[in-house]
Amino acid sequence: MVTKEIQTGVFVHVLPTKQFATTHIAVNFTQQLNQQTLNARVLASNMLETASAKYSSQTKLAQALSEMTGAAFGTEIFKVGQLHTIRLQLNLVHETFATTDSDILRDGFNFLNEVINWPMGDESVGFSPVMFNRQKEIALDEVAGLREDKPYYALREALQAYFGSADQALPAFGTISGLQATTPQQAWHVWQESVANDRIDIVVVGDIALAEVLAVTTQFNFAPRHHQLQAIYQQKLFPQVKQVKSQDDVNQARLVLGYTLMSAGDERFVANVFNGLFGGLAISRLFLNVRESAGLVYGISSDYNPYTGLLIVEAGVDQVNLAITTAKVNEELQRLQQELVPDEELAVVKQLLKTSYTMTLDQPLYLADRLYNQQVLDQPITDDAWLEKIDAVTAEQVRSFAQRAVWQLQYEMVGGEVNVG
Amino acid sequence: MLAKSQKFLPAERHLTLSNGLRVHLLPRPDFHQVVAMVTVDYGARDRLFMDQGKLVSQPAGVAHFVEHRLFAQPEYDAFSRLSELGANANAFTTQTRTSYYLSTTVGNQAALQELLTFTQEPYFDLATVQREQEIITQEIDMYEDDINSKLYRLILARLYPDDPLGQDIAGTVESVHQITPEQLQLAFSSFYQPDNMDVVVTGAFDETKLLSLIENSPAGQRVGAKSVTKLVPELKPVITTPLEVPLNVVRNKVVLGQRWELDFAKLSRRDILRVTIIGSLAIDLVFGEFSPTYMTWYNDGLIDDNFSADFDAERHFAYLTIAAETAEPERVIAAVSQVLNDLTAQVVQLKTSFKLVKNDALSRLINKLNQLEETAIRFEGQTFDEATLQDEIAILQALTVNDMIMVLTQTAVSPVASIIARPDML
Repeated sequence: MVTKEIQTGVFVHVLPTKQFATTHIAVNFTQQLNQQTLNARVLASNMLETASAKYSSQTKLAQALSEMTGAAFGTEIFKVGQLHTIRLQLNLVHETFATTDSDILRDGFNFLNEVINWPMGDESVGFSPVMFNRQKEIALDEVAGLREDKPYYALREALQAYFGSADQALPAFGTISGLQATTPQQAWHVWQESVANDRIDIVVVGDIALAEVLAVTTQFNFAPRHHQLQAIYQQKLFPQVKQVKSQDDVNQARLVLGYTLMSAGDERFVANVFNGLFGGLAISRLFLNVRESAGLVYGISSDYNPYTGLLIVEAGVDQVNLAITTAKVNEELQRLQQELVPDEELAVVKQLLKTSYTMTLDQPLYLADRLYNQQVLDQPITDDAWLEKIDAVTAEQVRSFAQRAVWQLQYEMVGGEVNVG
Repeated sequence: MLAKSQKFLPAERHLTLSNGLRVHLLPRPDFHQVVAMVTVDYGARDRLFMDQGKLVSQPAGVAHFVEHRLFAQPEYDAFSRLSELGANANAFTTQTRTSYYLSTTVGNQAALQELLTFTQEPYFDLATVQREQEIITQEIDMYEDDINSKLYRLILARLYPDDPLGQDIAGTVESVHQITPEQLQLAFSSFYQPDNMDVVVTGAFDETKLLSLIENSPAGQRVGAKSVTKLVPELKPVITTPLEVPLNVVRNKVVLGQRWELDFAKLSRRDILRVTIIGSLAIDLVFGEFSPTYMTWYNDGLIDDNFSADFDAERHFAYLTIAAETAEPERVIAAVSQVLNDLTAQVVQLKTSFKLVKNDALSRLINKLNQLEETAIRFEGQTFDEATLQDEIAILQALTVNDMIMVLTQTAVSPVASIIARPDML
C-alpha cells in the first residue's frame, strides 16, 4: 500500500494488485457526526448518485457508466463511531475485459470529477428541485420501508433506547423528520461544505501504480483542510438496566441485549477475540449453548462496536422463551468473566478470526474499506502484524476485558397489536 | 474477442472419476483461499420418483431436512469440525439442487477431506431428527415473517399451481413433522449417488495433490448404486386472476410472474443457459434506465428504486418475476403486463441500447470473478451442461442483438400472473 497526501487533508491510498478482474475506487468524505448536517448529507449523496450537471438525467448517468464497460457507481453513507462518511464508489472492469479502446481509469476519474465538483443544480436553487424532491420521497419511503424488516427495526429501537438523545442515536441514513425538513439549498450547501472541508481519502485497489492515480486525481483541485477527527463515543452508565418492550406484528419475538464495554487502542484485538468467543461466530458460545444445546432460539449473535463501546446480543426467539434466553445469555457472559477460556477453544476462535481476515484479502471492497478505516483512525497495520496481534491475545486478557462489560439494556419486541407507524 | 478472459484466467479442467463422480477444477492461483462445493442434483421439487419400478412420494421439505441433518456424524458435528479446521462451511437447498460448500485458506487439506466425507456418510437418528423438526419449524416461521419471501412463494404458486415450486423449500410445519429418519435415509440413498453429484474446487491449489485427495476420499471411493428416476411434475395452467393479499406492509406491493415454456427435452442444456442470459438481458432492457417507458413510470412516481426484475431458470423450469412498490397497483400490473406480452417488439424498439445493457451484464459477471464462493455456487452442474462463470462470460461476449431477437421470437411464454399486497390496517 502506498499513501500520498496530495493536499492538506486530502489523501490518495493505492493498493496495487493483479489479483482482481476489476479496479475499485472509493472516495470518502469524512466529518464529525452532526445532527445539523446528517440528513442533508444523505440527500446530497443520493443526488450525486442520480445525476450531475453533465449527466443531467438518471438515464444519461447510467449511459456514461454502461459505456465504461458497465462501470458500477454508487454512494454509501455510514458511521464509524462519531464519524460520518459519504463514500462514492466506482468499480471498473480490468482493462483486459474493456469493450472500448479508451483509457478506462482516466474515464473513471473524469466521471468522478464531474459528479463531485459539478453536481446537478446551482448556488441559488440548490440541487435541482424536481429531482431532489423525487430523491427525498425515495429516501423517505426507504426509511419507512425499514419498518418491515423486523430484526432491523428491533435493533434500531434498541439503539435508540440505549443512546437516547445523543447524535450517536441517529441512523447514518437519516430520520423521517430530518429528511422531510431538508431543502435543496441546504443539501447543496452542506455538500459544498463537505467538498471544501471534509477529510478526503481516495482509495484505489487494482492493477495500478500510485503515479497513474496521481496523474488523474489532480483534476479534482481540492483545497487544503485541517482536521482533528474523533471517532470514540462514550456515555454515562444508566443506574440500572433499561427495560424496553415493544409490540409488533411478529410470529417470532426479538430480543436485544446491550452492554457497555469500552476498549482502547490495541485492546481491539482482545475485543475481537472476546466477541468471537461470545457470539460473533457460528461456533461461538451463544450459538452452541443457547441455540444448539438449549434449542431456545433460531438465530443468536453478538456484535461489538469498538468506537461506541457497545456490545449487542440479538436473538429471534419464541415469546415464552424471552426470559430464559436473557438469563442464558447473561450466564454465558458471566462464564467468560469468571472462568478462563480453555486453550483449545481460544485457539479455534483465533484461527477462525485469522482465517476470515485472510479471506477478506480476496475482496477488493473489504480491502478498500479496511484501508480507509486504518487511515482515518490512524491505526495502520500490516496484514502479518494483524494476524500476530490476534495470536498474542491471552485467556487472561479476554477475561479481564469481559469483566468490564456492564449490562445496560434489555429490549424485547413481541407479537400483538399491530402498530403501523 | 471471445477469448479475452482467457488471457486473464487459467484453463479449467473437467473430469469424471471411475465411480461416476464429476470433478471440476477452476484454478485462481493469486487468491488466498480455496472454495470447494459438493452439489447434488436433487432439490425440494424432487418429491416424486421411481425407485425400482415403485412410485415414491415424499413429504415437502425432505431435501432441505437432509441438508440440515447431513452435518451430523455419529461422533461429531461436521459443521463444528469444519469451523475448528478453519473453514467456513455452508449449505443450501434449491428446488433442484442441494449444495454443501466451504471456503478456507490455501492448503487446508483436512477441511476438503471433511467436506468429501460427511456428505457421503449420513447418520439420521430419531432424537436429533425430532429436535431438528423444531428448528426447521422456527425457520419456516421466520420465512413467514419475511414479507418479500412470502410474496415470492405466492407468485410461484400462481405460476406453478399444485407444484412443489409454489411451496416453501423447507416444507410446512405439518410436512416437516411427518419426516422420519427412514425417509431421510431413502432420499439419501436415492439421490446422493456419485453419478448424481459434482465436486467443484476454485482458488489456489496444487492440482495433482487436490485430485489425489478427491480420488482417495469417500466421495471418490464410494461405489455408487443406480440413481432413481426423478419425475417432473406436469405443469398446470397459470392462474391469471390477480391475487389480493392483506399484509402488514407500509406500502402496496405488486408482484408479477411469467413462465417461459422452453422445450426442455429438445433444447441443449447450453442453449437453455443462453436463453436464460437472453431473458435477463431482455428484462434489463425493457425495465431499465434505457427504456423511456420505464423511466416515465419512475419519474411519475408510479414505481421507485424497489422495482426489481429477475429471470430464473433451473432444471426443467424458467420464469421471470417482477416486484414493485407503488401507490397504484392496478396501473403497474397493466403497464408491466403490456410490456411482457409484447416483449420482442419492445426489445426491437430498444435495439440501440443493447450494447449498453450487455456491457452492464458483462461487468456484473466479471465482478463475480473476484468472488470465488459465487463462482462455485453459480455452477449449476448438469442443468447447464457444466457451464462455469467463464463459460457464461464467453456466451455473453459472443451474443448479438439479432441472436437475442431471434430467440425471443421463438420462445413461447405463459400469460402473466399477479399479486397485490395492500396495507392491512387491523
